Amino acid sequence: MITPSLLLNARLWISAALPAQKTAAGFAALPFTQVRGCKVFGTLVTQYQTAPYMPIGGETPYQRRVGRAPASWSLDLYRISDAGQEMLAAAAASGQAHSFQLTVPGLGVHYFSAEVSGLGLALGGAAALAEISLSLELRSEVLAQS
Amino acid sequence: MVEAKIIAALGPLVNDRVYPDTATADTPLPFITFQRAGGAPLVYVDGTLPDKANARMQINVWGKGRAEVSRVMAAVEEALCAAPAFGLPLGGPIDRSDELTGFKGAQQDFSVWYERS
Repeated sequence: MITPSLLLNARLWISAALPAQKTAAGFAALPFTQVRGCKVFGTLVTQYQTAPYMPIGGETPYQRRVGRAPASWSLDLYRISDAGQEMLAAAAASGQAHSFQLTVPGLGVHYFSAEVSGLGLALGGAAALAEISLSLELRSEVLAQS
Repeated sequence: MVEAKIIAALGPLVNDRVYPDTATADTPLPFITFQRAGGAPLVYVDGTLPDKANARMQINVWGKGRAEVSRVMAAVEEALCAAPAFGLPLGGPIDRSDELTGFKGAQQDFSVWYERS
């Protein structure tokens, strides 16, 4: 039987610095601060643009991969007093790309750089907890290191 | 803990006759009992717990007559919704009665956030 990966104990880290070399080792050398209070991580997508390709000679047309598509990432957090959340808010205000490290048990470490394109303070009813929803635009490949 | 928060909020309404789970048979009326009946679990993705927790608290008021019980339960709702308890009623009160003792009662559930430690 194969054990599935659990997201519990997954941790997100942020750094205001960008690596000199966009390699896993370059990211690993950065000073990261953990972002606490994470509720939901969005999907990390590697998506490619496509264009219709019409081969000469009567073959079936198909969508041909032509390049990387822009990728976004979403993040939901409970609003707590935390240094990592303060850095996320600063990243949203500055518009500067930041480095991120996401560790998932069984899936290893994922590094990428991204800039915050949206920050929302989610409110609700009397029994709700204040939450923050962020949209991030990836500025690098997602580098996985198991 | 949530028990201390409930007792502090409701004690002044019934001369501090607020008890967890049950009260002794000779307790003067009116009195209040309470018990935890679940709550919303909360854990961060990284496996840590916040310093606040949530409980669904069932509050039971017992008295000599329906009017007295309704008056105390209305005061319970007012006390728990206000600061610092900030409870949220989870439905309205339910009237009860005890055939053996003849006591009149009412129960109502509240969502209460409290300091975990």
